[in-house]
Amino acid sequence: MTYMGKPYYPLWLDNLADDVTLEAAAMDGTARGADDVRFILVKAREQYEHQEFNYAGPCGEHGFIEDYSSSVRGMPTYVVVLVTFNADGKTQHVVVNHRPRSAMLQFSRLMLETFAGTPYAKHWEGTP
Amino acid sequence: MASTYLGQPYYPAWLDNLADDVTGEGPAWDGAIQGAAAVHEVVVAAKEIYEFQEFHYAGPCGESSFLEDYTSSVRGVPLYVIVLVVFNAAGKAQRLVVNHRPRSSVLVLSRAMLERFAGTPLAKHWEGTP
Repeated sequence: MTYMGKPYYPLWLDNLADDVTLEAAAMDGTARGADDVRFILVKAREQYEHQEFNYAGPCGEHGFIEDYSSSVRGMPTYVVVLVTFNADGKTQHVVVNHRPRSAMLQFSRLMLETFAGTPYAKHWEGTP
Repeated sequence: MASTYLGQPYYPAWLDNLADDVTGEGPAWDGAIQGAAAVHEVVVAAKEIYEFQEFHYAGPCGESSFLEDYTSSVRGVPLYVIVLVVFNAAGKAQRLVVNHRPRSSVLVLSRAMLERFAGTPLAKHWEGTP
């Protein structure tokens, strides 16, 4: 995981508000709460074969954006993550956007496999 | 189709400022749409399919980008959208990433776009939508 040739770690992931929400192009519904959101995001990051960040930095008045290239099961996958902070500087809202469509659907199927049999699976059930 | 930001009509100025070699990507299609004419046509078509656009944010993002965050619906299905526009050194929109969510709505939009562009060279971007 690199940004401008150096190791990168998303600090916002360790700064989640208790009532943080997570939405995504590859998900249905909204995941809520720091424990659930962190668990899902950590599992999602395990699916990536690499992450090469093109940009990671402030966006607007209270946002942070990540724009990175990756691959999942050998398929090129491009991602834009928008993080919105609350007044206390905690991560309040995370939106993860995978593209193109084929990669988004593959990622969704992979997450369903990962979370099959758990309460989290509902976000990926029904993926064609 | 009403498009509003803070209660006022909103029009994306970047849409009239596309680089000749602009690209358009998103979770609702495969491949990259290439060139100003094609990207403009696709964005205009999508706006015709949206039932409304209510913008929560439209403004600068980082040093050379612009972000739009809006709520919409397509065929009665709620659709949430984040658009990232990256400008080139000449200030033209060079790269457009349109991020729709949730997944079910992405596929509704993708099918609607396939219907809209059926029989045209642009249809390839939505063909194969399940």
